[in-house]
Amino acid sequence: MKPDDLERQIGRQPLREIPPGWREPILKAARQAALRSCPARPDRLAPWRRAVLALLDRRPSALLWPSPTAWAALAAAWIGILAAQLAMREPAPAAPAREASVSARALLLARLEQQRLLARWSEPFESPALAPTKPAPPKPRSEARRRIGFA
Amino acid sequence: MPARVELERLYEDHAQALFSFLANLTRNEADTRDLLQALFVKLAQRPGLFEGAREERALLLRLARNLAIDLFRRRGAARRHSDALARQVQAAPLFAPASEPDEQAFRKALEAALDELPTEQREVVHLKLWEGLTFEQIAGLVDIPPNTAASRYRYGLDKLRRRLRPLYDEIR
Repeated sequence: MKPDDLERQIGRQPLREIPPGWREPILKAARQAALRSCPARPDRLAPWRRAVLALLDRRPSALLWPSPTAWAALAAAWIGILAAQLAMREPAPAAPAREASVSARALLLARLEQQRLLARWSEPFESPALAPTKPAPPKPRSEARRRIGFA
Repeated sequence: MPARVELERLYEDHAQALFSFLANLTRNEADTRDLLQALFVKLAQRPGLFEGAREERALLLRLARNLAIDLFRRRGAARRHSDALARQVQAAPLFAPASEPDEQAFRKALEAALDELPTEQREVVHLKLWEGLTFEQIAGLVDIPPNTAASRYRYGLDKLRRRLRPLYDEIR
């Protein structure tokens, strides 16, 4: 499709130039954005800050992540121990709290009763069988029979 | 980060074309400036943006177009309508001022005719007429098939012809 005169005339119209005052503010904003997005370069820092940053950068990783396999094995062992402990734990009583409080009260009463009985049993025991015996006074009918029999 | 000289080189080489393209899309001076600045900020923040890019200008035009579309979407259709009304009152000039009155009248009429085109036709007309891109290049830039780019150009140009033909025949 060959362009006609009008099409060529349209395409020949010169576009307005960009305002010259835009250049510096736009480039300044771009440079500031670049500085914000990029961290400070280490070679521009003081030597002691560089050393501290290097230490912080290197030591934690050296201390905390020496071997991924070892850390994974340790984590697996801990998970196994935790699972075994949970499996061996006795099941929690399913009774409601009210029932538990009632049984506690009953236990307390039983305990008090037990203490009372113990206190009673610990008192000096005076049994009639162990007391010094006195000769019983003869009963009239037996005495009479004895007198009759031996007479 | 692109070095300072690299940013300046990009500005010298492409800012004029990006300005014209954005001005034609937005028809608003403040929006054009904001979008151009946003584009250069993005260039400064993303150092690997041009890696693997075959044509620097096409990539920059594509980025500018995406920024303009984001702006349109953020504002929504209602705001765009009010912007269109505002543009009729205080539209930024798209073309350089002409010394002859006939030329000036033609440029004014062309600006008004371009403003009436849908954005998808206006961007294709701009890229074809003032950037000299082929339909294949436009299709790659706008993410449409080349036939669609050609038809959009044809429809847009027909509208411009209908609108400008009487004036053109008169001043020719």
